[in-house]
Amino acid sequence: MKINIGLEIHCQMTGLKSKLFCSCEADYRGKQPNGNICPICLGLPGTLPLLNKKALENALMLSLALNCKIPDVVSFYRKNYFYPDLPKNFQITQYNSYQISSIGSGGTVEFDHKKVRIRRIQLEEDPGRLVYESGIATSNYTLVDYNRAGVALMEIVTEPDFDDPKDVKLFLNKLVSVLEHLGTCDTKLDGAVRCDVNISQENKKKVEIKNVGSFKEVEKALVFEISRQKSFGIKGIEVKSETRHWDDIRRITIQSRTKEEEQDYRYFPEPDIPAAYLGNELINSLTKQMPELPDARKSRFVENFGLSEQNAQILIDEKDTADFFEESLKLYDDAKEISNWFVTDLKVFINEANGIRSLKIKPSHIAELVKLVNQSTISRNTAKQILQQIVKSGEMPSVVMNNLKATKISNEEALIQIVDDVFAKETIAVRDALKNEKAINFLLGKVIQSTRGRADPKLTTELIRKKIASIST
Amino acid sequence: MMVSKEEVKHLAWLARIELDDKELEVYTKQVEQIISYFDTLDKISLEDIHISQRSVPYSKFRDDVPKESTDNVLSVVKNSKEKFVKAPKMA
Amino acid sequence: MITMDLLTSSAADIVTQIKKGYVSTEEYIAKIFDHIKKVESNVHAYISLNDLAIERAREVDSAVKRGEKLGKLAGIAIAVKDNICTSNMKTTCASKILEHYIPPYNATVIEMLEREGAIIIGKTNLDEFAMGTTTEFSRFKETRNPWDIERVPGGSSGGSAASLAAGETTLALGSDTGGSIRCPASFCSVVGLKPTYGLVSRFGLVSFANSLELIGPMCRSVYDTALMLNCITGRDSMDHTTLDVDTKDYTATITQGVKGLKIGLVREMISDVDEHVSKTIHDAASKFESLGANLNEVSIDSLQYALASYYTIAMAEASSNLARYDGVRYGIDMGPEGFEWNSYYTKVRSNFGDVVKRRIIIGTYVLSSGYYGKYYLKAQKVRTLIKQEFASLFKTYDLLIAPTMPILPFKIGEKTMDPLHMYMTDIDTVAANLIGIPSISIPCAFTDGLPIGLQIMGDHLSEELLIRAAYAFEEITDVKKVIV
Repeated sequence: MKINIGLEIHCQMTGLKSKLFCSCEADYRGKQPNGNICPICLGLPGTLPLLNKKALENALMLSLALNCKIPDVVSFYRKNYFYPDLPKNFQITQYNSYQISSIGSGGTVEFDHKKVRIRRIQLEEDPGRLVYESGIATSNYTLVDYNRAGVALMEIVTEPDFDDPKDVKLFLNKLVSVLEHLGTCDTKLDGAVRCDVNISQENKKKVEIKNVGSFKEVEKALVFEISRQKSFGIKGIEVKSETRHWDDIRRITIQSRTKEEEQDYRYFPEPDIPAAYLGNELINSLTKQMPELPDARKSRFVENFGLSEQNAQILIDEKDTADFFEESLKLYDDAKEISNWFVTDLKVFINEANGIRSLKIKPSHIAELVKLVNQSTISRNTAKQILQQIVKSGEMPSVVMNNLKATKISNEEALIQIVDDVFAKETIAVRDALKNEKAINFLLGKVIQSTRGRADPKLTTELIRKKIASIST
Repeated sequence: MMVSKEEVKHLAWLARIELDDKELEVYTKQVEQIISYFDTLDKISLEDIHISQRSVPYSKFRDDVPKESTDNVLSVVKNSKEKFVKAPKMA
Repeated sequence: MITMDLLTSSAADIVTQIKKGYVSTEEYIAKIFDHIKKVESNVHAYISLNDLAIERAREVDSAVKRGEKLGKLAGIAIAVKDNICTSNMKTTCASKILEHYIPPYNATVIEMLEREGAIIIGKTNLDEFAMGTTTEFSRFKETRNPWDIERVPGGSSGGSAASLAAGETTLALGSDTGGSIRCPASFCSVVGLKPTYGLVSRFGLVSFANSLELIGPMCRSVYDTALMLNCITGRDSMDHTTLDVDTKDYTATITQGVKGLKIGLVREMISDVDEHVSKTIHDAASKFESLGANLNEVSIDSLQYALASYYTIAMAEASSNLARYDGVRYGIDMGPEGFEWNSYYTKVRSNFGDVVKRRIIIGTYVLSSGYYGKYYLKAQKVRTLIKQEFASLFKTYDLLIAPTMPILPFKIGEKTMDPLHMYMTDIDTVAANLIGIPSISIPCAFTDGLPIGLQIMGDHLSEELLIRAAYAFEEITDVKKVIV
């Protein structure tokens, strides 16, 4: 069964200072209801939209980064529909049916050696927020907070080029990294990204899943929907063309109540905003200002630092991680050893914390940690223990090390004593080790365990080998 | 262009305007009359015409500088609760 | 103290006397209010009056006494069409939907005029949301034509025009989407200018059809029109559609006359008009010739499509602009609690008058899927075609003249039942809006006691030329502009 999946992604431009069409603050989060509004974003009679040119620049940067074609002139359209979160009962957006009005179109993005085509990238305004005091069905009225109304959104629409939810996830990872590198959208902020997904099986009707609230949920929603459609196939039921939404608590898609066919958006050019002439000068200057993007950064990591493709990919997937890695490198020049931490132990903490910046750890910590291991001051196992503590406490590794008195036991005499003790206790294992070389590892583990990880593994192994050899002769 | 009552009813719904039966009758006639007048545009050949669109250099648009609104915007709101605007129910 | 009739004098004269301290602003404003009290029951020009006007007048008088520098319109009474936002006064658009609405901000033109010392004395009547040609479609009152109170004053800026003609103000502001300044100026025998699109800020003008309309001055003399225009032009950071042009003193060149100018009389605009109108405008053309202008008849073939193009675009934009009136955030309040939202919106929006509802529905029609190409897009192409035809004419001609209105002011109620017939009266005014050129209507003559207006059009930003020609014409024409 061939499946086609397309995405329609909305990202708030959290990097802006003001809204898309007025000077209210772009950062509406945490403000008292309707404390971030003005006559323009409340749509009062007689007000006119005032286009934020930085929003235009940001969307242009993204369009360039996703290899889109840029028209000479971009323009805005009105999408007309009634809804209580929409102050003007129309949304100012862009529209390509009558002319190319959007900032980017016809782009391509490569990810994991695959390609997806970008249909368009456009700018539009976010609506306000509806609040129901006692649930949507039972409330006698709705409360509206317009603080979000007019915040700049970028809409990114792909062609239906995906055929596997895993690829969707990889693509979204890449998109997030590009957005982070451009500094246009902090995808980690609550509500900063939303995704609509459309799925159609070959020769079957298209199903849309609206408003998946985070990129992480997209893959799950797709997996569910595909299996739902497959089970329909098995039962011989036809898949309807419909709009569904993702219930992230019950982890299922549900049919939406609003009927799409009743909508007729009556798009027409926004008369209050003249078309914006971009010109080569702007494009050239933005191209010059373009920061290093994830692909280039990955290549640099591979070529300059000798990292594996896989490790480089993990590092650049999140800009903060890559930045952190490079900052650590400035303090201690061992790319391979430092990168190893990011792709193993530290990665677990990063994922748990939803980003490295949420941890207490600083680049100097990682630099020092690697240095201590390289100088054989601590064992790798001890370093792992120290890491566990410093991500939470923010203490320097050397401080933790001293507190633990965790200096690696590399004193031969002391270790011989411990090895002797283990041999005395583990007589069966010793017998095994005489027959089977691999059983040595068990004894090594016991020694390390009894020193709480402080025994130098190299030296200990050597000592165990010597002792086995001396017994066997 | 013929315009039917059903069409006008649908248009009124799209515009969230209520028309009673009598109004619907009158409006349908008037809408048809006016739309038929607009059909005079069919008489003219417009294929070679490219709509002229005013464009301004992007630099003329607004700088990204936040400003707090000094206008007492909420003074226009009649129905509110704890600073929220009160709207009708959604279901 | 000198003796001058403060009710009929020009703003230019009054402001001179105020600045010299010869006229007390307080007395002048009070006199206007007294006169309003006397004639309003016949004229019905105002929706609301400004209680603070007298106080502002006193401020001007004390500024005069202190010898402070005064603005260009210090102390001058100005009536403002009630679709232009004023922060201390209701702005109703003559609609039930905004009956008690007080905007929290001033329109840019209001800020500019107040900075020059003008005093808003009241907000004038209009057709609901400026949709009409007679001011009969105000939801509050029918404004009467001061020259014959059985007749319409024209519209939609009927209140502004009538208040000038009745001596109820010295200056007025109107807005013109398809002739709404020029039509009532013509019907009430006053001067009305629709400036070049983008010359005056629309910030604070409640939108009817954004791409067509503009605020403009309405006055009893061409000189006052120039004086007022001086105060309201310029790029506004609150309106992206304003043009980057320097402010000018339009009075500086006003006496330069029309000698040597090439003027075209537009055949399509005069061919099917009332015979009195036709004769009067032909006479006016001869007057320009006698002043030394070269006059020819010109033809603009695409004008036959102008009305269909204009109404398609105006209604499309209106249907979208007026969507915001849903009774939730501001305006009419019908108590949303308990209503399902769609039925609340429908209930609220049924308070629009018939004219507005019909235009919203037709605007919705021409934009709806499947019809965009057939109507809206075609209308825009016709607009471009008309623009091209005018542009090529302006290569040869400095100015174009025509009647402002094809007919004389008609009786109240005469045309209200037939919307299409009513639209046809806009036939000569809409072209200027479609292509964004300036157009002025000036009093031309009276026939059987009813005024006829002359329309003068010029290329983009040719206001100086328009005003020069209008002034030259006014100088040799003795037409009454006020009846007190």
